[in-house]
Amino acid sequence: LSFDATHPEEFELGEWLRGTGPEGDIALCTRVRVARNVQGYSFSACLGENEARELTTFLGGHLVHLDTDDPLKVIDLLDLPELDRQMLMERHLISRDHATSDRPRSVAVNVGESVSIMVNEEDHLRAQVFRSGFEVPDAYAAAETLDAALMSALPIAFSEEFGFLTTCPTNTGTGLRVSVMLHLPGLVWAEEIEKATSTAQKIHLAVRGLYGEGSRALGDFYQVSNQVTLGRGENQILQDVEAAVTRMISWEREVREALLKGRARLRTLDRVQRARGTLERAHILTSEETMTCLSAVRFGVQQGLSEDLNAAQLNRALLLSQPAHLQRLAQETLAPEERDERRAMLIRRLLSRVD
Amino acid sequence: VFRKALLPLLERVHDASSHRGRCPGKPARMADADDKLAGLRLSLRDAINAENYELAASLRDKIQTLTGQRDDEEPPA
Repeated sequence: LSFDATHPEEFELGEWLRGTGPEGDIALCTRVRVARNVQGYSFSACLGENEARELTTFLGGHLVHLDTDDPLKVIDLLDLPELDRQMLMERHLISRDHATSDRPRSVAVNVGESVSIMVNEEDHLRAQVFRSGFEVPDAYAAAETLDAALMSALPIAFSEEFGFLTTCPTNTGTGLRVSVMLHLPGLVWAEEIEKATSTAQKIHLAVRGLYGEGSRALGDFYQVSNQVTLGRGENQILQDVEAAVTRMISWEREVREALLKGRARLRTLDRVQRARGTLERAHILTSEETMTCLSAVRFGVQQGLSEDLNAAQLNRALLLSQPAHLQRLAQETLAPEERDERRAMLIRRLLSRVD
Repeated sequence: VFRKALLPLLERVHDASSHRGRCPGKPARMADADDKLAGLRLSLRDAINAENYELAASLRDKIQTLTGQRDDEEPPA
């Protein structure tokens, strides 16, 4: 996998940061995941150590040979060093809980990092597909194919009445979670973000930060996803998320336009250029300050205010400035203060060179 | 085993208590008009609650199209 690299330019960005999909200036990526469990084993939360080990081995054996276009590599997380686990999390291939838990577990990933299947997370299987940009139909089609492959290889737990059975009742039914990761600096700056998120919440959608459940909306990144999984068919869930995200994207565009007009324009330019100044000149950068500044600079690039920079540079900066990637680049464990110095150095380097 | 205990919880979380989606080993049920209609009605209710009247109007039209089609199929009384 590409996260073994040790030079900033060698790292592949992974599907979620490829930055080439539809509405890519606002929608970073679309993720579709299904939660599945196999018959014959208790739900993950109730499994003893030995059973969990047996389940992980059993499922891993099937996933290696799963009928998919792209072969999957199964990575045992119990034996994997902490830094590598954290890198997988920063690349969105595993959840925070899957990175830090101490139970037997694994993840299956394809080379392009567009598919990842977590084994023995909250459910036995959490299969997810990523697509760059706002691409719900394509992402769902790929997830459906993957799901069909899982169902033909494994005895998946299903009830006619309740649908796919899951550990947590909030996923029961379709087990489907469709989420779109959005960059919404306009709504944040214009102080309309709360209105936008509460509107989405009223129609049973969840709005979360960049790293999902419990994470804050650092860098003005938000994930919008469905909450209801029972009583609605897959198509309906897809349509609900698509309609809400379409609305949020057009809202963001309207606000961006207003921020670049009249008296607001100067303030916006000032904000973007100050952020850029910080990134290009600072010698100490915390990850929070980096995200805030990168968000403003990204806004500038997308709105044509900084033509000498491009989105790919910023995506690279976004990924590599995270703690585990920084330490992999440095090839040593770094204390937080050391990371802040390295981060500033890395960002200066990435922003001064056009990819 | 836990059916009784879980039903109220499922209803509270999802506002529904039974599955309407794909089933393993069966053709996709997504095209099933009943499911589609029920889903549209749920979305319409949500849209009205959220005061998103633009979306509500388009959903109402879709529902009318679907129910209209069905009426057409019924033999005249």
